[in-house]
Amino acid sequence: MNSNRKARVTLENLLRFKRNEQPPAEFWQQFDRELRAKQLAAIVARRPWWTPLSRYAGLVSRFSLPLGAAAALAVALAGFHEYRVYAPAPQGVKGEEGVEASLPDATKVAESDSPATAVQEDHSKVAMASVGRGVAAVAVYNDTAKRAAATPVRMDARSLALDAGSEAVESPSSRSIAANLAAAQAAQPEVIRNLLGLSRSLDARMIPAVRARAEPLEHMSPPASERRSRLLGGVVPALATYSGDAPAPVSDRNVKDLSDDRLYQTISRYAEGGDYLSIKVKF
Amino acid sequence: MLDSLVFVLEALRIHGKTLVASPERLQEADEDWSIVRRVQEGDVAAFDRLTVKYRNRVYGVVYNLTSNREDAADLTQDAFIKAFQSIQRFQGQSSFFTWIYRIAINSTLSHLRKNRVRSFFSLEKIDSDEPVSRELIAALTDKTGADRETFARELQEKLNEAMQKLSIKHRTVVTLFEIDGLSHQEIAEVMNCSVGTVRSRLHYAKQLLQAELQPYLS
Repeated sequence: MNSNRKARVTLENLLRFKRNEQPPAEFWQQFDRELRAKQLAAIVARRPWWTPLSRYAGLVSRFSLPLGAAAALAVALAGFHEYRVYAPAPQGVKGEEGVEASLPDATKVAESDSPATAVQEDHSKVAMASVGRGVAAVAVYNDTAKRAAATPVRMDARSLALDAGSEAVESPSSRSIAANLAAAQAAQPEVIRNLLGLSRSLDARMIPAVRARAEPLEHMSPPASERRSRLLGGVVPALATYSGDAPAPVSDRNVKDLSDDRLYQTISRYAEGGDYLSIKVKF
Repeated sequence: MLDSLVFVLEALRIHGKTLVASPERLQEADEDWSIVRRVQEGDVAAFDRLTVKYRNRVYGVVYNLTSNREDAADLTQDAFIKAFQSIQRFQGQSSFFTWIYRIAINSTLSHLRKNRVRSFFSLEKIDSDEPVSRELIAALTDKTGADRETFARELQEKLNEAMQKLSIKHRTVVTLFEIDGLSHQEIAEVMNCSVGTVRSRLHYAKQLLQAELQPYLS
């Protein structure tokens, strides 16, 4: 009888036995209180800012492949555009003609009303020229006098542009410097002109001073020359004018021309006293 | 004929992936959906009805997965809080029952993965007066009432030990099918896998449990 009962016990019966593991009624009361407190806390609690974005996470994940492909294509196009902007021009275009062709037309630009408007209107042109061809230094004015006054600066800018154009490789920094210089001299030409002119005059004044300061060193004779001049002063008249204040230079050529035989022949008498020294020389 | 077709289409509309659903489940899903709409419109108190309706079943699943009543209570509460916070995103693609089950099981699985080495049981008391329990215990022993309670406690511990020896996925399938009474299709929806996978896991889990509980089987 007992064995017949045990024969009916299956695994499903044992697992169904676990269904009877139920908490008491008091447990649910506490459970509801805690759940209510957590629910209120969830309502009051400030949710992170990205919580609303999570609604679109499913949409993004659903279209992840086309969205990813579109993003990759956009990045590739942007990179290609940047590459074209900063790529150097071909070698054949570089040079004077290429630079002249890249410069804006001065007569056309001169139709502007004022320097300020010219700056505003042509700044984009200058920038585009600098970006596209590597040449940017152009000052634009409708006033002839101002244009003439600004000519040195303009030439400087052009020379800078030519220097930049003559080199095979142009850096973006050189183009940006040229563009800034052009914009500055267009906005405040007097300041730039004075600044560059002052620097030139300053250079002109500084060069002679540097040379004058270097001359005494160049004209200083070595001590051996002074000794030779002193000893040979009686033999060679040109050397007799030696003075301590202004030492006469004694060239090596004069010393070499005077042979030893002649030197002893010319010195006929040599006498010395208590406070004198006399040398007689024959000519 | 037309009515049956309308019924099938209604089942497809309401339950999304659920291709097989009983009329009771469909009616239950409609009621839940109307409550969810009220909660979405701002009636927060309506969510309590859903809580009271499903807290026993959700707690039972979580408890049988964890074998710890404190953890089961916390995880069940967390599941309802998550459902409440995300109620605006619930579009009725599945029934609320499936949705809350999925939330609870995912939370429980995540909890179990974080606490693999934990083997602390705090079990609920078995109702020995319940007919199924009484018949089972009577089939296993002919001893007195006091000894039956001790035997029932011992059997409960053995069952929980055997369940904890299963992997998390196998334990989940056994719990949902044998203890909670879900169908293979519903388990597949909850666990986000195929019906074949559910059957395979169930078969393997039963083999392991039979090996563990062989002394209690005939």
